[in-house]
Amino acid sequence: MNKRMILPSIEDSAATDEVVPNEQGRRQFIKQVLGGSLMLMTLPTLAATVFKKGASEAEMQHVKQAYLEKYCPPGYDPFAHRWAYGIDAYKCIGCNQCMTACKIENGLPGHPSINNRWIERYTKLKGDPHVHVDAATDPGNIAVSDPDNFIYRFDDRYEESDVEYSFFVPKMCNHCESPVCIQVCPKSATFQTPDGAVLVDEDRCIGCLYCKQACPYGARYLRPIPARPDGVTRVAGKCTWCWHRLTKGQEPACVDICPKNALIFGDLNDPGSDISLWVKKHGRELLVLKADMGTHPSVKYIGINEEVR
Amino acid sequence: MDVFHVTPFVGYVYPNETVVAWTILIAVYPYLTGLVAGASSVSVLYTGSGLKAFKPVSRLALLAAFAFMLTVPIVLLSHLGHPERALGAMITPNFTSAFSMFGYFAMLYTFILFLEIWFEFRVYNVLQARKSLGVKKLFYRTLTLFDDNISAEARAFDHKWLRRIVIFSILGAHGLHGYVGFVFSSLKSREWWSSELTIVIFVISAIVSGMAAVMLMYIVVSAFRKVKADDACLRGLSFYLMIFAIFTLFLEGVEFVSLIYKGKEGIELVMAYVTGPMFYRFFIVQFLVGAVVPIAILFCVWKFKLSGTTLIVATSVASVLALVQVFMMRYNVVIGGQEISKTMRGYLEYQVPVFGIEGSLAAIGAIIFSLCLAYVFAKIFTIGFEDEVAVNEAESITKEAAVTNA
Repeated sequence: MNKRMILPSIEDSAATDEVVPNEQGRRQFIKQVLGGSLMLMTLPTLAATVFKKGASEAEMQHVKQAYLEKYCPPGYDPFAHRWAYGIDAYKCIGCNQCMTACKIENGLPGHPSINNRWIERYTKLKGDPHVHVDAATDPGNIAVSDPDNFIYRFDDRYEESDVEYSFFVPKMCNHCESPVCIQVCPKSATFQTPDGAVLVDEDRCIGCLYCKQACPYGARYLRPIPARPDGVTRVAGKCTWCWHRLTKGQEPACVDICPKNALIFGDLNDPGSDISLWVKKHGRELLVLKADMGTHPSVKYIGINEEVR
Repeated sequence: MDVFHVTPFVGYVYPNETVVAWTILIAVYPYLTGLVAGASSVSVLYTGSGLKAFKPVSRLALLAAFAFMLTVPIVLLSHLGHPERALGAMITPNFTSAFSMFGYFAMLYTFILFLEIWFEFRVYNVLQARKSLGVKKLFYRTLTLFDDNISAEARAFDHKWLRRIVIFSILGAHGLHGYVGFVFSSLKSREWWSSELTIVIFVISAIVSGMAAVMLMYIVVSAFRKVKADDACLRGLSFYLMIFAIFTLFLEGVEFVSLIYKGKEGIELVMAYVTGPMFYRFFIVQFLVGAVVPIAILFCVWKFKLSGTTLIVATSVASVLALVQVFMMRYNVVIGGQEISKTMRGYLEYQVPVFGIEGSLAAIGAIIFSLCLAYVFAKIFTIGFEDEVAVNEAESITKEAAVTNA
């Protein structure tokens, strides 16, 4: 095969001179880039307008339905309830029993770095401008706890100090009305049930943990051990308000075990429920965490100050 | 063996934060998309804008961009808890998620790059198919989609379409990388990420990393091929690199100063963090060694019109430092953002493990993999312009023959 056979035929013109564009061509190119930018900027807006509502809603409905069919026992109507959670920090004694009950109930590891809920201790010492905060992950607290047996304690580091005030604050997923985690989940694996609980479909979650990054309350984690016998690992985990118990007419494990009734849970649709009465009684002093995030938490607090975030 | 790695902390952090969710592979992810955007920009300087000085690196840059782009999903999928379910996120996406659109944008851009490569190397592939035999011939014939027309009209058609595709390629590359910036900056939960400047910094620094990578690859490839790297090309790249490095340094500085000046709640913590565990990574590596030093070197290249070996050494050093700077910036965004607690009362001190999927070896492996891919592409196609030379030669032969016959 000679060179002539490989290369272009005699009919080819001298088009190769045009391979490098001239100055005018460059101007035209820049114009085309600007035009293309406009086009590319318009397309997503158009696409969003056309697809956003229908597809997203349909998808969410599908996920909800699938989850309800999978986990909701016959007889439970999630549309008949509006669950809410109250925390009375005046009553909390920091016993950590809620944390223990939660971990056992929901199949979490004993290590305090993976939690659906935890308790923070806020301590203001006289003469110290800063408020000190610690929880179960604090090395001092770990030293007096027994995580392998789900026993968590606060140490007595302030025993000798001149304490101005101190209080305990239980923390958990806030089951927000406008949850950021649902907004950011790329696969709609996180969703809100009609009764207000924010849940994760573990059979859908891809484990990207974008939800963990987005949650302002640090309520999410990557599940290291399965939540149920046929469950999976490496999916996003969070507090479910013990939804599996709610559907059987039981309270969340943490509420059930709290020895001081500092945790209040119930149905806002029922005017006689504990939570409805509690909200009615403390309505003027109810606070939510990080209200500036615009997430509208369903978990309300009393007995906390501006130091609690 | 622990199924999760707990990170030590100072002050108070939420308990779940002590397991860092996004590790070094997620820092490699925006680094690679940045390299794609930057390499694509270099390629466009010649293909689209017609700046002849950049001709020697234009094809290398295009192939490198394609190799980096193909590595991006591998890095992302490796980090997922359930990569086998990832496709589902594209089939049934949540349109409100900033992340759900990434797969579509990435696929679209990969397709644009594929088209760009097809048009750019069509003549080369046809010539390779003509002179090859057997499987190799079939391979190149397949690459040409069994069309071996390389007449002047066909080449003019290729050129016209290549110029059109290049427009979308450059927009797609920077759009994709800017979108990656948006994935971080759109999260209101983290003060360190939610800056309005993040997207701009991502895009500008991407050009820095891409130019530096292509320049370094060009120098290394020239050394291996025992040919002299083109001085004009290196000087041109150095100049652009210097300009974009100055922009990046300026914007990063503005972002940081703005954060400090606003002095919102928790600023004491941020200051303690950047002057504590982040000091070396942030001020020394990212700002001083990675930005100020290469800018100074590149300024000397420009001012004193360096050439020959001095130029090669200077641009190599500047490129390596610029690449380190951009990687450190990605690392400081991804890991640094997570090290500053959402409580704004404490920070974590994350140590990258060496082994495992979250380890530094995996990250290095991903980068090496992308370079190997680039090597394979350079072997299949070419980083030179043999096809253009051959076509020109053939044309002059036929013209001479025509003149002689006349």
